[in-house]
Amino acid sequence: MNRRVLLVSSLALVAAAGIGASYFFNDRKMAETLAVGGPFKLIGTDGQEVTEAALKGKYAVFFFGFTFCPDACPTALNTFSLMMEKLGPTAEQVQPVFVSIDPARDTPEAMKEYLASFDPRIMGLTGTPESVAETARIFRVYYKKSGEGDYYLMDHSTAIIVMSPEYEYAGVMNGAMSVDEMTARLLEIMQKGS
Amino acid sequence: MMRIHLTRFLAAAFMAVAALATPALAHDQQLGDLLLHHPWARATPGGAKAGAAYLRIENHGDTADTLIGASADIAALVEIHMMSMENDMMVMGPAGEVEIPAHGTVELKPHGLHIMLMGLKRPLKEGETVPVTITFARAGSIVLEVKVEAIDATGEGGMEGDAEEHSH
Ligand SMILES: [Cu+2]
Repeated sequence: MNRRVLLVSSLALVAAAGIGASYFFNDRKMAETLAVGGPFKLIGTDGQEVTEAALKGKYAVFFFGFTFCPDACPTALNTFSLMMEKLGPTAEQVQPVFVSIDPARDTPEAMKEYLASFDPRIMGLTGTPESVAETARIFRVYYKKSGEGDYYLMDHSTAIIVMSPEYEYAGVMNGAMSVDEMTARLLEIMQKGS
Repeated sequence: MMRIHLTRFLAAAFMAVAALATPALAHDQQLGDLLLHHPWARATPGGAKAGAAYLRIENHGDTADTLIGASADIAALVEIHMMSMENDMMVMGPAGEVEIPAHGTVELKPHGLHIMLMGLKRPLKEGETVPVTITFARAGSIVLEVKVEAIDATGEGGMEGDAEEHSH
């Protein structure tokens, strides 16, 4: 192999790596290559079955957490509440969803009581341990029980996944974002999708 | 002439500073060399069985101390916890013993160290004060008067936050 070929091929390699990286960091491409989000069958706060059909036509904003959570979960739900206020009429196109990853504690009744402290537009979902695990897997959200007995805790991912009105992956946000940051990010995702 | 103006100016300035420095919510407690600044908790959502309390611990002494435990009547189990982010995962668990260095400060605040209240016997309601005991290896125990703030409180001074939220 002569020098020129070596140079050209290493340049090509660098370019390919660059393209790969930009694909990876592009929301839509990420969805195509990693397939985040998908169909689910869970239980709503009135004990009714809820599937993705209930979300179509809106931007669904998914946060996975649990009620035995002193900080990250109430903070994220509070941010959802304030974001819905801030969005004004645009909020009609948005459906915030709180999925419990601790179904052993979070019965539909417990979810209902908990969510009564936040914006009533937030949908609460729980389910069987299997259906919750399957939903989390589809959304690439990780969680793990830590500790034993009555006061076990859940380690969990705080990623917030946004699905488009066609129920395709549209973008990702984070539970630690401020209200302003999250609202701006959601509007950006919605603009890109339209 | 000049002197009078300056005195008036200073008096006015002092009053302005004094007004700023007395936020309605902040309060301090003292235990030996330890200053316990503004113990507070967020109101808990309906039916929540867990909550967290926060404060700033300042050690004004020449000797380090260690926070070794906590208890409260309102919860079945109280522990000092650390919350951290590991690869996008929120991980929380017992923090072990927390050293308060000589002339040092340790901050218990959202997204970090906290007094974890587990098995809450009733919700934490905004506006109430809840007794929570914390224990140090050297200084001993003190009953903190934990002020319960709004469910959306951040602990970073409610007043500024409110002003920002409502300004147009
Ligand atoms: Cu904790």
